Amino acid sequence: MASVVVSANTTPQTAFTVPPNKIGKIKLLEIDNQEASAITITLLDAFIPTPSIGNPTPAPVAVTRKVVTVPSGGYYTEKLDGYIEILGVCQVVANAVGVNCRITVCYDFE
Amino acid sequence: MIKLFTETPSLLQPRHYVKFTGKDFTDYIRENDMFRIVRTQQIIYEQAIILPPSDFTQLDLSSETATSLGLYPTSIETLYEILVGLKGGKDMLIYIQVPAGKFFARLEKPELFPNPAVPQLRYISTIDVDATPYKEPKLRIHTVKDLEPIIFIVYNDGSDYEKLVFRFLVNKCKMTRVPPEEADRVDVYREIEHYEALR
Repeated sequence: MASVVVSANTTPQTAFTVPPNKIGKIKLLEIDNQEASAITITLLDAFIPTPSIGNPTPAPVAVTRKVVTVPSGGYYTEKLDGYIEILGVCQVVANAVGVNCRITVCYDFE
Repeated sequence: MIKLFTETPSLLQPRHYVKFTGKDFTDYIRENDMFRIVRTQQIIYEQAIILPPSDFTQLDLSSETATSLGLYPTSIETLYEILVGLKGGKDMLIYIQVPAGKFFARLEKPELFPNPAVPQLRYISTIDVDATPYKEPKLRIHTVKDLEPIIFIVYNDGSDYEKLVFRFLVNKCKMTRVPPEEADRVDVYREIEHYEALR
């Protein structure tokens, strides 16, 4: 199992990229918010769908997989056991910039 | 030619015999022609697709166009034996057509043909990840040059985007034609039945 740590940012931060022939599974999510205010963290799954009958020329999409709000000074942890799947690129985005808000994502590829 | 097994089938090996039955396959492989496998090579080839819910796409297994998968030989002396395994996409359904527009497997009652758009007909002759898992493939396909294209119609029957990974284990078999007088003496061979034999 691999893990990555990113800081809260209003620009999506890439946590990991799933190889084309694999599916990403998030195993654990930890958020340590030592900022002065609450921060909302969103996990996104960014990918380009395959051309289909319904959409022959698909545009890139970013699907929201998880949203968590952590109060100032709060610590959030959740064991996800892989029930959140990532198909393309796992991105972390926040509603505010916070270098003292650290997000740890533990994941695996299957 | 297209068969779903209950266990992973074994691969053809050098010195095995194959016999094409049911119908002429191409201009150079006629009904009841027999060939001997001379050499084999195994190639793994993976492809993935991502589909939104209630949408479908087509995968052309042939080597006819720039977008087709190229799973047909380009030499008349080659047979591709392909085991297809699936990963992910637990709600993805696959329908097999050969050629395009004609379902490979269907029931005999005329109105009971597979149709993903109609709930009552959606689950007729579908293949999913449980039927042929990634590491224990149970769907076997044989292809030869100039055979009509096999088409996979892939439908997302779930409620979210899903990713389906195809693992094609291609057993590339170089084969040589067996003269009829020798073929009459061969008792053990793999029968490759034309897709229209049971349709």
